[in-house]
Amino acid sequence: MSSKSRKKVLLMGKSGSGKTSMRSIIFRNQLAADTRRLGATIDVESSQIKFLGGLRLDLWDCGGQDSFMDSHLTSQSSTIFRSVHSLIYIFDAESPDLTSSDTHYFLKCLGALRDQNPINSDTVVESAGGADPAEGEEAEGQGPTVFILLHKMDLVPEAQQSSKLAEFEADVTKRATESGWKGNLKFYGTSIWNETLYKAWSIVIAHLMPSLSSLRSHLSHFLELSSASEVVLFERTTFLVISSVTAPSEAEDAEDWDKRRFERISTMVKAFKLGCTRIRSPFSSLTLSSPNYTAVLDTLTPETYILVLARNTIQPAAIELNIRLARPHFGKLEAIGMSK
Amino acid sequence: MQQPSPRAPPSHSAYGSTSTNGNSAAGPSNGAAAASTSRGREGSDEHKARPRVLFMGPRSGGKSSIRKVVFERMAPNDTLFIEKTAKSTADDINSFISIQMWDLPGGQLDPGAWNLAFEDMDAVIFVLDAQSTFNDMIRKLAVTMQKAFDANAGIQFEIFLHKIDGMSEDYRLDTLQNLRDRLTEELFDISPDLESSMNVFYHLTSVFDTSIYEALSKVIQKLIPEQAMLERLLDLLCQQCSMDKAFLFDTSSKIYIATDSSPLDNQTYVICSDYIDLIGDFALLYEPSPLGSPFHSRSPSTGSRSNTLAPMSRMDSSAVLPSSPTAPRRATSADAGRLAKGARMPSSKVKLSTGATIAQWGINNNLSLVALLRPHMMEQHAALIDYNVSTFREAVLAIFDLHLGQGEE
Repeated sequence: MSSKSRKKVLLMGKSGSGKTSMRSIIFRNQLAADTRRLGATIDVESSQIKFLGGLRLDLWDCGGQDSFMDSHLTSQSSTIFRSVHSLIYIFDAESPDLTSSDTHYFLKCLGALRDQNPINSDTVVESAGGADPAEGEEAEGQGPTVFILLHKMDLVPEAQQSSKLAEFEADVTKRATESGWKGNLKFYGTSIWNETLYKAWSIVIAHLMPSLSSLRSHLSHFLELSSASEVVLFERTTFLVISSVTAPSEAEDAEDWDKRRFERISTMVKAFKLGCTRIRSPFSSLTLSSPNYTAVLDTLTPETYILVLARNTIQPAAIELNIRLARPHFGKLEAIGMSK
Repeated sequence: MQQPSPRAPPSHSAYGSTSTNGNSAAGPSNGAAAASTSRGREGSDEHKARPRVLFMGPRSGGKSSIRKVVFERMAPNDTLFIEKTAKSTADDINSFISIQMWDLPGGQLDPGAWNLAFEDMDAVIFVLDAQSTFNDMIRKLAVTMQKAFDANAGIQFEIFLHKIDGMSEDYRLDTLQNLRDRLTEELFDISPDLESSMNVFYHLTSVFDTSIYEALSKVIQKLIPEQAMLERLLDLLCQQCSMDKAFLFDTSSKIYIATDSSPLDNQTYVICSDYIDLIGDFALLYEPSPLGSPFHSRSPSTGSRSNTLAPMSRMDSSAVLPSSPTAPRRATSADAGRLAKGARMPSSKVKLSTGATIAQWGINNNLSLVALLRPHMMEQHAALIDYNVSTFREAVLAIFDLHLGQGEE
């Protein structure tokens, strides 16, 4: 089915909340500092992003000025909100009318989303019942998913960040339920200045991916065969984390590892890739061996990078070879996903 | 799918033909090492008296910013919030080349007010804010320089025209020329001999790009007596291993203490220092404990001066409680020494799609060699290059005579 591999994602939020900044950092490899030069988005900017396994994202960046919002919600409503797979709504954490007009517009969007994507009652029950938030697949075909990003968290004092997000989440969820929204709402605090942005988007992307669980099982098979400690799969252009597997035997040590390591790797490698592009020789692979472990970051399929981490007894060359041998297999897997 | 055995060399003939080359590379560098060992021992007394550098300059010229950005890895944007330095602090930059930096509080640059022991200093860095009007400062600067010169004729003057990031390219040079002319004039007025016999160097710097690292690298290179030998070693290594460029970096500060003699372009330095950053950060993610990390800890707590006693590295500061006596500290540095001998040294490489490789090898806990290799050299002669690098490492360690120095501490 072509509609299955083509997914429409709406990016909405108030003017100046940071929608286009996010988009240009994640999908266009811009530096966070350069986003201040971005102008206002007029009307709707739609961009197509080719993704892993034949997945195509239609990302609609909707201008957030009040007049545009009004037209999105009235005259344009059917064009914009029809057959939406996911809505990503961005709030500015420092906006003075966060709980008044910002939330008001958000509820209106939810209403429009519901009107344009009627779902029958059985599926709603199902999604409210047992969809595991981490396994996005199960929500497939059950009406649009809504992600809410409380953006510009860097401006909120660190001690208040989590309480602010929790408060905001409780408030918005309550008001959304009151207005008759029955689906899930997922909340994340983000900032373009640190790795939280990657964290939130990785979850969004993982949600959009078809056949994620089968990919995971293949990855853990690979982990086992190469006796590695951890395997992480990244998307090529955005460097978002698609999936990761940690060896059960390493669970204890993994506690000591940096909790936000995947997002940090995304941020770091992406910054370095930008530097490489500047000297006109793009990044291809990274091999690292330290007294305690060996890590190899290399392309797996044309759309993905894989990071394999192993104990120091394993030679980097062995990991490199294993990755090379695994390539055809994962390539085939991607091709299957494409034909689906 | 599994095949843990290392890859066989791609072709035997290619391997064999260059291995003679490799041996010849090992030869001269070994020779150089042997020659230098004796010299290193002789110089170990003077080595203990570390090169000392003094930071001076008017109020809010940017002295503390430089110190924080380069040695404590503060983000350049955060330097806006640095408070005034209230009193002069002596900082031990604890790295391979231990340097003492004196950061004097800004304020009136009044040469009479200070009783500075210029005799002990090897270099003085004057930091001037390029965006301020420093004309009235120049006279005081000249008097200070005269005082310093009288006390110590061998002292080096480095003038950093700082905060140039806000200026256009042409204007920068104009400002520098202006400063140079005025200062030369002032010095000439004091005494014509003075002007001609002083070592004065000018640098344009900014914390927002790599210029500050390059300027400090140049300053420090002049203070390291072993520099010429290191450069020769790097030249040999580059020649034998088809490297385009090789740097010997101080890992924690990204200052390079030596590079080969081929011309350096800025982009190469930028990519290499970015790479050091990437590797350093990456290693921290999976290290079981900060002690095991061969790299600096990036924790903001480096501000505490608990590491002033430990001669080797900053990583001790995070591992040892400040209240603990010297005994455990000694143990940790001994551990570090064993690590350098027994376990494999960290190394890493990045392949670029042009085929070229940027590779990094740890020389000891503070130094790493970063090299830009020509396309496909790394794939074909990896073992050979590693061998040459390990010879290089031995030579460098012999030059600095690190273990001897460490034992004495």
